[in-house]
Amino acid sequence: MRKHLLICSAMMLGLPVFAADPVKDGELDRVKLVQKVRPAVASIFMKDFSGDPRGRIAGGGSGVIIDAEGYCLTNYHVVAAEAMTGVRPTFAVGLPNGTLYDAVTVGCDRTGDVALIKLFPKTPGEKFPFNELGDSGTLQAGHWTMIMGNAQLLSTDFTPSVSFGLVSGTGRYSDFGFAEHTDAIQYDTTANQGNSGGPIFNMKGQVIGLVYGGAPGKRGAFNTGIGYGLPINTAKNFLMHMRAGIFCDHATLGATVNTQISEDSDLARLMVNQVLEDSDAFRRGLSEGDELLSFAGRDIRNLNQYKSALGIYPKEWRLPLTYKRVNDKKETLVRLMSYSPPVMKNPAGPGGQPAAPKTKGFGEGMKYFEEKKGFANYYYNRLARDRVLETQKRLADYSNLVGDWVWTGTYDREGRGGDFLAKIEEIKDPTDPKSTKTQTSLQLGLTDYKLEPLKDGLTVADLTEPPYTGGLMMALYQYRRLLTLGAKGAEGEKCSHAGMEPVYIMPLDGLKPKKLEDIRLMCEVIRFEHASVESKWYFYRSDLNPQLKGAAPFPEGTLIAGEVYVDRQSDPCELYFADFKDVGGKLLPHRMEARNGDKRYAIFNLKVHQMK
Amino acid sequence: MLQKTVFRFVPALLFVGMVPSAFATDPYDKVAVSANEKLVKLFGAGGYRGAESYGTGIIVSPQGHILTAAAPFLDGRELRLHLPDGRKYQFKVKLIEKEFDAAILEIVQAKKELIPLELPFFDVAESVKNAKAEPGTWVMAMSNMYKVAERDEMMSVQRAMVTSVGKLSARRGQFEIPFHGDVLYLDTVTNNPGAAGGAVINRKGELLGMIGKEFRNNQTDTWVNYAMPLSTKAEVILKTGKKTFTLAEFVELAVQDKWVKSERPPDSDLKEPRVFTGITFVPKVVERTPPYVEEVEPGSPAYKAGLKPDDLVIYLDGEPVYSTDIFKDLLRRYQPGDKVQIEIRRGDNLTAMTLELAPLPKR
Repeated sequence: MRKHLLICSAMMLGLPVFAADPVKDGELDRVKLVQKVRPAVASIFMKDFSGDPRGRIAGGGSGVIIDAEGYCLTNYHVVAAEAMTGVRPTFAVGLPNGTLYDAVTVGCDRTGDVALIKLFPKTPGEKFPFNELGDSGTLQAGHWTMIMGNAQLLSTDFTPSVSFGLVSGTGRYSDFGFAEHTDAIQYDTTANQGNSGGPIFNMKGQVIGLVYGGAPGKRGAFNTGIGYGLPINTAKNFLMHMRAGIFCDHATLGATVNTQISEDSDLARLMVNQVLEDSDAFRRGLSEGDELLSFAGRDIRNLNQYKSALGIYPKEWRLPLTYKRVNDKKETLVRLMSYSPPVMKNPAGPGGQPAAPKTKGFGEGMKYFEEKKGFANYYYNRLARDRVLETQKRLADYSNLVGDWVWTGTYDREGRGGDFLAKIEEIKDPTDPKSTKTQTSLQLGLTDYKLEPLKDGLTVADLTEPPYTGGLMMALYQYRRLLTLGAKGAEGEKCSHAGMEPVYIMPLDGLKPKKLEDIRLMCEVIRFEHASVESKWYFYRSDLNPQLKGAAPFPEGTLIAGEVYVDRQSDPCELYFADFKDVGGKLLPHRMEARNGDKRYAIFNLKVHQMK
Repeated sequence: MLQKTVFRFVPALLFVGMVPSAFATDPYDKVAVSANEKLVKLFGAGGYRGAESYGTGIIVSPQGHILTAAAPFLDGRELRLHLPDGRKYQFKVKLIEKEFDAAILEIVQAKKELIPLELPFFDVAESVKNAKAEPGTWVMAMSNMYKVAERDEMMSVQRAMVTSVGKLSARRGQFEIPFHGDVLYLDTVTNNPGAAGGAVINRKGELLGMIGKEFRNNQTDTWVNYAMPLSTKAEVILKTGKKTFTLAEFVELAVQDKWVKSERPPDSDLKEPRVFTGITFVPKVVERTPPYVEEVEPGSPAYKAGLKPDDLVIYLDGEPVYSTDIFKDLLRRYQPGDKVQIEIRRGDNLTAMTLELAPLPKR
């Protein structure tokens, strides 16, 4: 009985009775963690065929497998072809199980220095071990990290090296020339050549970053006590793009800024210098002398923070920007512009040097590699595009409905409204009964609008009819074209998967949402071009929206929004679809919102769909 | 009864099992964040080759006194600092004490600001009493190395272990370290460009010492990673005689305006090399006389290495030698006993040889 008392009192005091050695326990924890995550740490090797037709190992790097299918993250500079231009098509990748797998480059983000490759199983149906991606947004200086990888290419038996250390800083910015490290993780954990692209783990065994490399300084890149890593949240923003085989591009706001010390405080302010006239920021009203306050939910007070806040997003994403003009605080959604530094737009290099010689591919991966401009591997783009369009077809198959389409119902435009009728039809040419022409018409109450979308010589004013819609009739025509013909509806393979982008579903009551982040849905994007009009179509996917915790607002793969650009210099016509109901085996939207710029044009309540 | 015992053991075991592991992998983030509040980023203008124009400082008084290393950029103009909250201030050097190779800085507030600063600070007197470091102590080093942070961005944090406590035997270029007290040797690359003046703290966040300037070890020629503990001592020459102070005492007295600067003799004239090679070059006739060997003194380091008259010296330790003057300049970096590599051209061949430098013969 006395013994029990002793134990109880020890518990209350919180003293470890059996004096387990904390250092030993910590060590045991680490050993277990290493064993848990190690199977999915990859050693990547390149092959050189110049001297030996069988190929010799010519350098390598590290990576981490992120799903059972064998998709693996690494650095762009690991997969880059010579002169940091395109990509090497194929690799040999060793896993700690001792097997050397064939792999192919899937997608990449050069500016962010990240790439996605895919390993091919040795036997059909073989599942790969993988590691979970963590949240690098919660990282703080002082947290423990573990780095694993093919340090100095020592992993000849494919067992990675392990090192252990601290996060030294977060949100770091450093420009390395070919790559720009924005929002980077800084660590004191040892990383060497060959560790590039390898995972940085937190102590839960989640991947929170990828190794970039050391800080080149006067002591060289080795042993400087400072290393930089890509935060995994940035890679997540580009992951869908990379899965779709895209050669990704980063973004700019389209404005130049500088820091200024204000009169009334010693804190710096970030002032807008100049705004490019073809930028969305310009159209949203940003102008010289405005003070930037926050971007995408992050405060920005200095240039480092500004570059880090912007540098983690792909081009064309729409994100909230808060700025101050005199004493007014304004918030608006801004579409980001393409970043590509000029030197990279010309792969031949300055001075007209010839482009780097093509690197020879090998193995299983070559069956799944297709070159195309703008893509790292077009094979995976077609795969992703067709998957999205197939899913849509399962929800509502329009492929036989290539005849006339009619929608009727009511519309509501700032409190006014009435009945509407929208029609897309083929009209017989009265002069030549054999030929027909396509016509879109829209009746809003007593007003009639008509557009022949394929007619030559249409002006921007014609195309954007009705006024203040950005081209609603063209948008409806393109919508029908995509739904009925799919990828074949675009001329010259100009229908591609465009990765992942946010869509903001504005509240039905027309009021401004409290936070734009709260109404944001992540969607897969299909880019479509027909009759020289570009459009983007947004498909809902629940796994891209973990914030909803399983509460799906739309069925998986539903087409929920579109943006149609009759002219790249002006705001697109935006369509948002909602209130989906089953009509004769098809899931059809019964409400559509049309927007242009940052304003709502009208809400349409669709009562009757007639599709032939 | 037996069963009862078992049941009571189970929660006890679970509890015990959890505590130590939580302790061993306890994150450093909270301690780092609070220490960061007491550190500043220092910036100067210009700076000369090999020396950075930025550094780190430790706030040691609420009014804005700052302890840092006596870095060369402090001699310059346009001295300014960034506080942890992002505010920018000018500062001036209150005093530099060569015996500690340390400086005390003062924040200069604009005249309109009548409200005195009340900054979070490290209480040096308190820290030196409580916080001790010995070999095996886990520490954190915090600094703005490589100028990676600005404004309200956080200092870089590194974890390190004190590997030993001892004297420094190091130099930078031709300069010997002027400080002769004990330092904490660390096992992590802490003494990077801009790190000097940063803080070394323990896991409780107490200040243990200040990260020193970049120096190379005399014996191994590698960069030394070390910090000056608050308890380290230096002998100061006063008019009244010699007196020993700790770094903590120096900080306290300096902040209170009570420090009397040491009467240290000025650094010896370092214009001439202190080492002997035994090479006599051809007479300097033009500004850039090529370093052709005219004569080699028998028994000298050059003689032992095999240098001969008419050899042309191309490189000294990898640095190109364009003239006899440059050779002389480069030689000033070395001390007797250092080994240098010389590359020469003899006829059409390039040859490398190693010289062990000797002390200057007394004449």
